[in-house]
Amino acid sequence: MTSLRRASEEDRDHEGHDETDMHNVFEIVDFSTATDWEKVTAEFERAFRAWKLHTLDSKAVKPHNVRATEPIEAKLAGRKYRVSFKTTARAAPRPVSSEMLRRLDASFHGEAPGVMRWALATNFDFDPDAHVIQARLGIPEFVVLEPAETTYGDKISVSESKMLLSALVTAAANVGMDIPVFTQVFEARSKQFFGHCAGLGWSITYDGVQLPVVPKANAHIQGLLTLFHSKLTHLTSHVKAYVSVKFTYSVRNWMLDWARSSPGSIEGKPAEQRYHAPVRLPVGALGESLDCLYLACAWPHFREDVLLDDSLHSELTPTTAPSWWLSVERRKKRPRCKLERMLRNFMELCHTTATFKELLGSSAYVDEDEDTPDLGRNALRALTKPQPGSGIADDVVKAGRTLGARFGTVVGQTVRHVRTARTSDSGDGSALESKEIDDILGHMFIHQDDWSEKHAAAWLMDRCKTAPKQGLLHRLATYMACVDTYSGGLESVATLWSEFVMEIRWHWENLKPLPRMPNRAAPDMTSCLLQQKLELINTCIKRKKDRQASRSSETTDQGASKREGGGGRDDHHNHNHDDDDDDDDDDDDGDDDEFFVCPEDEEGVKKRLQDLKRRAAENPEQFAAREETMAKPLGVKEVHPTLVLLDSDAPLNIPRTQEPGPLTEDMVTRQLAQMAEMGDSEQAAALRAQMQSTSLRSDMEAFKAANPGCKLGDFIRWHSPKDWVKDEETGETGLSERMRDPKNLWHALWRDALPVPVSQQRLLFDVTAEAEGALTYLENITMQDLARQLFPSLLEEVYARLQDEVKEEASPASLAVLHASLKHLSSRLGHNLDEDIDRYEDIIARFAEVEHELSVFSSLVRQLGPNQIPLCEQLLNDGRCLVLEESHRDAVLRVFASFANENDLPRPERREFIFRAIADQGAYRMYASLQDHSFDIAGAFTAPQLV
Amino acid sequence: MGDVDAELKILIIGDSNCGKSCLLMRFTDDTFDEHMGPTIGVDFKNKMLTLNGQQVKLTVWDTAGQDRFKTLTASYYRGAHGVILVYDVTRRATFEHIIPWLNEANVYCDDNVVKMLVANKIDEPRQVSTDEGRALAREKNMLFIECSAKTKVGVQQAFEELAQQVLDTPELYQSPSSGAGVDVSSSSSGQLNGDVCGC
Ligand SMILES: Nc1nc2c(ncn2[C@@H]2O[C@H](COP(=O)(O)OP(=O)(O)OP(=O)(O)O)[C@@H](O)[C@H]2O)c(=O)[nH]1
Ligand SMILES: [Mg+2]
Repeated sequence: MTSLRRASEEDRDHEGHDETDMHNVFEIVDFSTATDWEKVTAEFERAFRAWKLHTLDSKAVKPHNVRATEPIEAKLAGRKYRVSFKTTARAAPRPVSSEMLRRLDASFHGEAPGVMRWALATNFDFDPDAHVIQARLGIPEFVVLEPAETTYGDKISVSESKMLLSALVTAAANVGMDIPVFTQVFEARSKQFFGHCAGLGWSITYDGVQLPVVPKANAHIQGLLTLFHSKLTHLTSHVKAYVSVKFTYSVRNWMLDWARSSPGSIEGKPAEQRYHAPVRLPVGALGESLDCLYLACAWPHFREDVLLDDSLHSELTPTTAPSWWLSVERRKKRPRCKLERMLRNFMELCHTTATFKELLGSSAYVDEDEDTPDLGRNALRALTKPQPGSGIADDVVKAGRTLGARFGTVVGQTVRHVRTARTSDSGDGSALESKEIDDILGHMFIHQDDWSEKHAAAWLMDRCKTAPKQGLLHRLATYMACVDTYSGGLESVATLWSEFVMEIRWHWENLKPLPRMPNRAAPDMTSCLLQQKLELINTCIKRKKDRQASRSSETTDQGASKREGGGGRDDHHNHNHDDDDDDDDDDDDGDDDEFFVCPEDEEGVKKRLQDLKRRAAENPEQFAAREETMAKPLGVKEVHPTLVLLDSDAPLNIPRTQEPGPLTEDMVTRQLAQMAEMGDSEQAAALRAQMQSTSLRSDMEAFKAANPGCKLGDFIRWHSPKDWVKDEETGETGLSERMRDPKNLWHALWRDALPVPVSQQRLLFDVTAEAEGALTYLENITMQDLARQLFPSLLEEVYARLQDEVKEEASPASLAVLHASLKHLSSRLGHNLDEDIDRYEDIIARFAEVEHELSVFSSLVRQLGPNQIPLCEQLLNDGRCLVLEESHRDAVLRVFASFANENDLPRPERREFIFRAIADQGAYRMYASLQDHSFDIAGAFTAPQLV
Repeated sequence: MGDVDAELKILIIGDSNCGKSCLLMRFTDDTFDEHMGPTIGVDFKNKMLTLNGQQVKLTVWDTAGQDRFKTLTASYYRGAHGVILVYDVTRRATFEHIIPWLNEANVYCDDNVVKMLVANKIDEPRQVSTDEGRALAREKNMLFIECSAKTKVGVQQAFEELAQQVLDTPELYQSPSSGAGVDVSSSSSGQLNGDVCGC
């Protein structure tokens, strides 16, 4: 003990400690504060009793299952301290050798006190998660005093500490407990404590020392053993101590793994190549995530004479140490990640209220302006033609780009304002070049081999409005985000969007269906409005194209007599319905634009003829009679398989009908609002029914044309079969009760309906007006509105990108689970993501977490090698892992050796030792930690018998 | 408007001819008009209810069950607080179609919208038993009631029960998404939430 304390005094002298010997601890009574001291002692006593520490049986084999206790605060000489009882319920102590434990018990004539048994225990050896007192001294439960206020530092001087310890010891003796008590000494970070525990006829003193250098004499096991043995009070040279050893190695300053760009991504490419291939979003951390990789080589315990380690020679070879622990320490603050940065930049777009016209200057949309050459749309036409190297196409492209470049220069104030607000690390600033725009538009509009209808299903966010997976808008979202972060920010985003809109317009004007669009009758209102608008435009393109196709085939095929209607006669009048309004603003096709055109397919005609023949064969007279008397049916799609007209035996013909025009959500909302405004009076209801009956009227007219001489009953049997009922009593069939009233709207509509086949009906859906309306919407959208609608699609793309990464890296199940949780997270988002905009922040953070974990994992894999996946997985999940197998050890060894530029493990950063022994007096334990600039000793020594 | 404490938007959906419009007429006008034709498109009616001393204005939207008129439906679900799914006990097929109707409602409605399954025409010989209806309602987390627009049985209760349930679901009010004609001032909703918990 003396030598120990002296070391401490030498160390601390410069700090002005004038400390007495440890042996005198109990004699210190400063009478000037006697009352304070007594008060604080009484307070401790009260706490011990409240915690019921006196009831704990220290000899119990296992630590007690004590209820969690609240620390108390006590004051002495104007300073506040916190006293807490710490306990860790664990298994019984595992001694270094059971023989030792037996001898210890024997020296107590029965069972040794718990604290002595724990001094021999290995349970907490070198455990990084245990309290420092547990790890060094092996005690599972104890009372510890620390400063409660740290405003003026957390240092406790030696005399202060000893006085407090004496109060704790006295209180412990007063309540009659044998739980060890400790007081901190020096700063908390020095991890030094004084401690004491006493029972009937025995006591243990816990003491420690810290030096800034390792004394030469103590730099090895031999030297430390000498120190340890000197603490055994009696002459016990025959006593053999047990030694446990742990060497720690560390690797800091990783190679800057994160700085590598993700393969195939656009990072680090020259501008003209960035978008040459379809982009893969860059993934990974933008900074270092890991602080340190540790390797701990440990020898659990051996008798002191088994391995030699002295100043001349050492038999401790870490490479063959029985246990190897690898552990990793992460940075406290996670670095930003690439996808995260991209998403956050995109968030800024979600808050940019300017319209694109404002962003690009008013001359951006030039389609109507005759003075400006029609360059934008020519651009894609050139692209669509797969004629690389064609000089003309190139010229057109260049011309188109001149326009694009012009947009860039007229960018308004808003752009600059937003751009200056960006942080410096928010991405690459070089603006989008025309070649890049061509590449991007090409990826969106031309190459679409990876798109198929089945992708259209919603997947990640089934509750919020998004667009079909990998569809056109997903592409747009991806490229917009890329351009935003990597190619010039808002300015380039605005340019890209205006080019996008021009391409859409080009597709419409040239009747080219939009690529990457699901093929459905009406827009899905669970999609974002933008998607609905594009689908509407696409429907317009298709319908108009179909019409033109059928019209041109009519003009070329003069035998068109069979095309329309029945009876093989040409009933295609095609006279101009040039009635009221002239809404023909469409110059490139005919006047009959607003009439329905229905190409009769060959199959249908054949089938119909067969049907007629069959019926004629079944009932020749009637059929013939009917054929002669009736007008010719027009606009027949097919013959009803079973039904026959009520007033004749003519087959019931199913007419061609007009599909009502698809409606986008905003249109429907407007209609509903209009209706709501009308109120719920009877007249209003009638008016509403009128308003909504255009399609029904069209059906009725088509039906009348297809079935000359038909009645409402015929129409009902086809259109609403449930309203054709059989009277149970009379057995007669007829209109249902609700249909029977001649006053109801159905009757009125029927009376007014003229026999007009759809080919001569006015269109229910004006493709030109609708397409122009939708294009106007695209042209007038604000950045904010656009970005908010695209954000869910972008999230889906990011989600998919992360998924790829999860697969690619053969990454652990835990990452897959983490990734899957993102789906869960986003499926909780409601329809109106727009209003949930603040929740994006949270979602981005969760996505970033996954991205970061992936990056940590891949970083580990790159360090340890692709064959060490299981190790990396454990390191990722638990922060440490045991390295047992030779091959794993080799891999780990290589990492540590290479960082030290050696072939073997470098010099350990830290060496720790635990010595344990028993002598007649009881158990002894000493912990030592040796580092370049610190020498740390803590010990549990049985004191001389007090009695 | 001054004396209205809450406005609720309710939808009625279900196959054609199972009596949706008749149910609504019975509820709003207490009449049964056998000659009202099949609904064309969508329509609505307003009705004031007094629930726990609160003036509650119901706007009930009725749709055509026929497929040919279905263009408007999707955004008609927007902002709905309650959905009534009607089937006709005299025709089994209408009961079997409840699932597709429910799926549609689930796609377009808020998660916590209150759903009620209504079995209509119980004055006639049935093809669907009470137990079957109740079991489906339980499985799909819906309220359930049997009624007849013709004899009046259960109609008033159905609407009141649904409205009450909506008032007992505070999330429906806190949801910022409010569709056409649905507006509950924050002060009155607070009052509502406080008042209804006792019953
Ligand atoms: N016996 C009986 N008949 C009813 C009842 N309710 C409605 N009906 C009859 O069922 C028929 C259809 O009723 P509607 O209310 O028009 O049906 P709907 O569901 O609105 O039909 P759509 O508007 O086409 O969707 C009417 O002719 C009514 O006479 C009822 O409770 N009992
Ligand atoms: Mg109806």
